[in-house]
Amino acid sequence: MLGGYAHRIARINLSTGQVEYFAPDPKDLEMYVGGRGLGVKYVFENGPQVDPFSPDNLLAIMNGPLSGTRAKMSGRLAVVTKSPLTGTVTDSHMGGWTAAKLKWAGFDGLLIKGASEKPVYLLVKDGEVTIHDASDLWGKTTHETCRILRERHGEGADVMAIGPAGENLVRFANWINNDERAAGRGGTGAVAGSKKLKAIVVVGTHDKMPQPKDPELWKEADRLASATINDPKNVTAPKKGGLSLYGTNVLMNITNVMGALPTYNAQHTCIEGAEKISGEYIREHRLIKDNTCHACPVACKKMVEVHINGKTIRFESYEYESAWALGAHAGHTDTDWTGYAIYLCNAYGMDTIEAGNAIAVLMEATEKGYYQGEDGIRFGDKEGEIRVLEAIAYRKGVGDMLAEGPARFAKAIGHPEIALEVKGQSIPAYDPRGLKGMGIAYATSNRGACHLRAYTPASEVLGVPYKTDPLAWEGKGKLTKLFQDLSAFTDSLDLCKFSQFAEGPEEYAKQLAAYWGRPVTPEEILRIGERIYNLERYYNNLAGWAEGSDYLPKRFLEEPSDCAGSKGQRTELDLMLEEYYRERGWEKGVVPPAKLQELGILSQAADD
Amino acid sequence: MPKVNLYATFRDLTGKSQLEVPGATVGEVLENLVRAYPRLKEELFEGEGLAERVSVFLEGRDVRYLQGLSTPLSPEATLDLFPPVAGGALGRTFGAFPPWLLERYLEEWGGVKEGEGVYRLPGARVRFREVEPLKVGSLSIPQLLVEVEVEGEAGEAWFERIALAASRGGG
Repeated sequence: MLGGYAHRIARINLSTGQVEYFAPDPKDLEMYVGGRGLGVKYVFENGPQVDPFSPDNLLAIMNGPLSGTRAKMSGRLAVVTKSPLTGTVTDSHMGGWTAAKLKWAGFDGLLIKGASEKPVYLLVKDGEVTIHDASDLWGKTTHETCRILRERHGEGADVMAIGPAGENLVRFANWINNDERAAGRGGTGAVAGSKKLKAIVVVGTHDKMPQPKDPELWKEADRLASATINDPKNVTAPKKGGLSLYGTNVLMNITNVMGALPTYNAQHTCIEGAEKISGEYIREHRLIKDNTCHACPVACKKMVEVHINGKTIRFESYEYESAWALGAHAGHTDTDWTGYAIYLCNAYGMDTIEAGNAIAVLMEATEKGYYQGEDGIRFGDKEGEIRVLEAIAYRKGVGDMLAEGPARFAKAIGHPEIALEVKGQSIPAYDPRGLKGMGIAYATSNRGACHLRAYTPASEVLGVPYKTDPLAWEGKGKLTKLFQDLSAFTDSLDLCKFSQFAEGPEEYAKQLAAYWGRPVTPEEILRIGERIYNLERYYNNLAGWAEGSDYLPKRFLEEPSDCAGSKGQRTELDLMLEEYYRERGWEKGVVPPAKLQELGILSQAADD
Repeated sequence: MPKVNLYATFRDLTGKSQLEVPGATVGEVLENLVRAYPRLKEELFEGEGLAERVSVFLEGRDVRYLQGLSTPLSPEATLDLFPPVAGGALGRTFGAFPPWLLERYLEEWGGVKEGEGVYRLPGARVRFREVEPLKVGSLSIPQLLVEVEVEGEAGEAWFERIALAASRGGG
């Protein structure tokens, strides 16, 4: 029996109230590991044709074999489902302690189907899942819900909740846990809302921590992983490295200088005053303390304080993506208003990236006269932005249209070209005219535009694992495949993406081998990642995302960048796609049967 | 005066890892460099142009994507000169891959230490050393230059193995 697992998954049917338990198939664990990979396998088996808001859609809450162990940076929890935003399979991850506590409570995952008639929450404790009435919580923000449920079930309880946005089926609603970490993208919170599932409470204590099958190998594996994460020269080094000191938002000034920061809905590629919403500025002027997740020495999370209209608001998550989306992308760099907008998105339970794009699209539509409603807003209108965020969460006025996602909104007003989307999901904070790799990474991401499937700025900006020219397209297809496969694997362990700034396949293989109790090679790790990526693509192909689905918004292909660092640049998508498909062995974005067989996907699907 | 960082075999040819060389364009700096170190001429130039196999970077950008030899240089500019990686050695600069970790793997793979930063593997010799970290904004990323002297197919396989071990990403 492979180590690291609780060997118990709950199947919860919210229509009938029935809860069943089963041990995951060992073959599935070896092929898909856990977290994202195993979640995708279960969502695939549930069928790619399902309507995301139907009771038949499966919502999988998964941890991995290293969750709840002492493995460094192992605090991530995967939420996997069919996305109501994109119609693709999607997975989104949150930090904190929820993943660890789910393992300690006796579970590798929760598979939720059906839909309750009245609001409910789940209590996960001592190897059992029970369903409880949540009528009193319906309508409350994520912060209120987490507080009430922790008071009810004790401070040791961990809570993840949806907010009003999820209840109102905002297609980019998310999950927020009591540490204010978000499983942000793809609308997984809206799927919960469609099932009337308000929250999940997990109670578990660390005395249930799984032990490695090979303790001697674990000592060595943990020593190496810790040493490289803590290496004072690495960006992950606690209290020294740039990622530890400033968090993700250390990137704001960098991308701005490179002309790789999409601003004013990507009509420009930099903004005056980016410093005011940068990690450096926030650390100096707004930081309260550095928070962390389970088993993480890096502590990239920043508790901050902002001041609005005489009120002080304390919150976490002044992240790079959020600060860009709700600040620079909306045409301003106001430290406090941007922070307030982030805080509100978390309270309503909405993805900050998609919400920021919704705001930016509305601003461009208003300025160009494409939207002429009284509730239109212009770039830089900070108070208007706050009003529209609330309107989205509660589906009022133009907010009701925007709650369908910026792509659907832009199409509805007859100007689809102003939505910066791929497969229905909007871009994050990197302009692919200044970072060419991001262009191919966005286009080929299986969950729609995304920086976390293949983080090419690691190479293009940071020289990890080797430096590439951000403005050159050559080699980016190959690089993207490597990053996609590596991340599909680490998302299945489920380790933090930041671990990849210090660890590689050798370190991951050693840690997994120590827990599994059998040898694991670095080659096997990339093979598993490749299998997961292909299974996702196969799902999408079957769900209707076939040839021609790997595209970029026209703006990046036709309108040149206007800022220093990338001035005059456009994205050469066709050239990169050709290289990428060659590396993948795909035919115009479609996985051929031979590839599915080579990776063991098709034969296993047939066996099942 | 512009600075020039030299890597790999360029260091053997000059005995230096960094030089200050006068010039207002990439071409002028390289010509002055060749004047001081004539052995570099056939490495850097093909006729009047930049040799195809050599890499010259200005602030991390290959000058071929700028204005080539005409690219203007400020007195504070830094050029990085990399020799070709093919023909006798495979080389790459890896980010966030500490030298102690590479040593650990070389030993695990049966490598024998021949000196500081030099290991003998079956069919190949590996040399590595830390070079200037890449500094971007408030971030500093350590860089490790690794070269594998190729002695047939074994050398290429070892290079691939090291590259796999050095694979990293982020997010």
